Amino acid sequence: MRAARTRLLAVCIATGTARAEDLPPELVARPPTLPGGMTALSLGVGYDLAHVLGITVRSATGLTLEIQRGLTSRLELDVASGVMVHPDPGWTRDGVVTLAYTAWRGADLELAPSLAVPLTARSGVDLTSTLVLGAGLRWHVSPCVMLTLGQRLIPLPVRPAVALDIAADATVTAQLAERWAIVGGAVLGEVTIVGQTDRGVAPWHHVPSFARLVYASENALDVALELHGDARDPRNEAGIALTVARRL
Amino acid sequence: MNKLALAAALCACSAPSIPMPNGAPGIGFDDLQYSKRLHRLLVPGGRSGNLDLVDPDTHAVTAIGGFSTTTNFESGGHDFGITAVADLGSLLAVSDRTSGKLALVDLDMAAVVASAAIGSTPDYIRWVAATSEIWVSEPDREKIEVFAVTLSPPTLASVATIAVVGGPESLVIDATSGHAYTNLWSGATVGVDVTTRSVGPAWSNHCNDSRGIAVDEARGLVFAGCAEGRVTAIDASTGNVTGEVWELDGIDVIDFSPSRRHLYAPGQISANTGIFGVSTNGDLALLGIDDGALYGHCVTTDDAGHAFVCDPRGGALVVIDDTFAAVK
Repeated sequence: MRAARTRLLAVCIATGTARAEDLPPELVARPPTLPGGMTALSLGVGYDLAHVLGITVRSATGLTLEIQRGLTSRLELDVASGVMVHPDPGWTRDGVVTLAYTAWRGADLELAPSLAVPLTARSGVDLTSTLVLGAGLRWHVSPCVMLTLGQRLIPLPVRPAVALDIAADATVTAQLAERWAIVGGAVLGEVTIVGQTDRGVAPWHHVPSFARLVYASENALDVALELHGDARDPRNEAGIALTVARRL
Repeated sequence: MNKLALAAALCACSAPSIPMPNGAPGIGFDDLQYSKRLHRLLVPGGRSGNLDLVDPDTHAVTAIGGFSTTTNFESGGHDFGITAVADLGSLLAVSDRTSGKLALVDLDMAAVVASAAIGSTPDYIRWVAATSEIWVSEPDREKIEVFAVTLSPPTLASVATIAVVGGPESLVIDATSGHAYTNLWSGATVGVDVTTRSVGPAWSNHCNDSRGIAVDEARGLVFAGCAEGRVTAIDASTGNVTGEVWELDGIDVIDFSPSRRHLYAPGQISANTGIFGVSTNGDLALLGIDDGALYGHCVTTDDAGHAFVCDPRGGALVVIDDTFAAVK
């Protein structure tokens, strides 16, 4: 049944006629990028807590808004920004624009490289900081398990100094049932290959990680509950987020 | 992972500012100081021709005029008029880059009561109470010039110079250890014994391009601000870097709050201000980022939860309310 749906989806994507309902509920069966003409709106609410040197430096509640659009059958545009609710309510004046391209889809392997550009509307002259090139290698380990590697493969700091970094990240998606999936991932390390090094942060100092439970409803709606934080130091860096994503 | 950290520890609000008299079209600020004795910020007003005294609580400004003035303002520069100040305990001292003079100012008279020519373009002036001297950093000739001071009657006399090859950039006095500290441009910091005037070894401060300096007298830490945006901490007993963070762009002047163990560092390119925590063993960590100003490269703190960042183009000070708890 799922194989048939996947084949149907492939035809729809190729012909540009995919509808929101055509995307399968299983995360592991969905394509790396949204089909052409499809849009997904995500609204998230989250709370983050962080301590540094024994004092609380963050206890913040905020909203995230993300819009994904399939520009073509292979190219996806993703724009995200945030609003602080508490404290200091207002637009965060930061955002991320990401382009992802489905370069190749095999039986078990898929490749969807991406470019993420952070943007800031703050008062300084630095409009961006670190561009991120991702490989987006997806390996369907089994019908229910997918491993994604290299979403943050090559971070390229451009301000305040130019550098070439390389990072290791991994995400595992396990399909628990047709509509339930659990996703977990981590950035395992990041080192500077060329350029100025931020010696203040060793590659192993922080391991940003997340675990997310996703329910895909019948009406093209995904609801996700996420825990995230620093796996090396979860007491000092942790957060929770609830995200609702609707495909149109 | 969230596309955006909700957390960016960033204030979404706009900080208030304190306009300086004759602030338009801008002021080339450089050195800002806080006088605990006067409970006033000491703000040399560059082209405005004023030494401004600012109440950190009410933000009321008292201007003492009579210094070099012009209507011309070059954004990003700070080469005109008085740009550095020191509190001598009874008098104030200011250095005037245009007249090339060091002057003693009597606040009761609101007037200059003594002055002396400086050997080269002055950068910072600092009061060395232990020897009753004013030290003036003069990077153009790579020296610190020493002026002997008598307060009553007020007199000034140049008595010596100290060679600081490759510097001196910025200057701070650690009265507890009896040392002055200054940076070398190419990533090093040196200590100078204020009594013997001997220059110690150069310690790597991990800056590509050294700028501002501050000191934690209680713990014997020296902080360096780096133009590329780092701040670092050095243990003055060993010369080793104990902490380093790189969160901003374009750091110059920095200042330390001993009561909170917070270090303030404006990024003049990123136009924001980093608030860093300093552990007692010299670790540095970013607590948060607040507003700043483009080309706002100078800062001082009242050590009571406020930092004041210069806004040259606005001819004003940006007020940073530091709400983070003290680091123990």
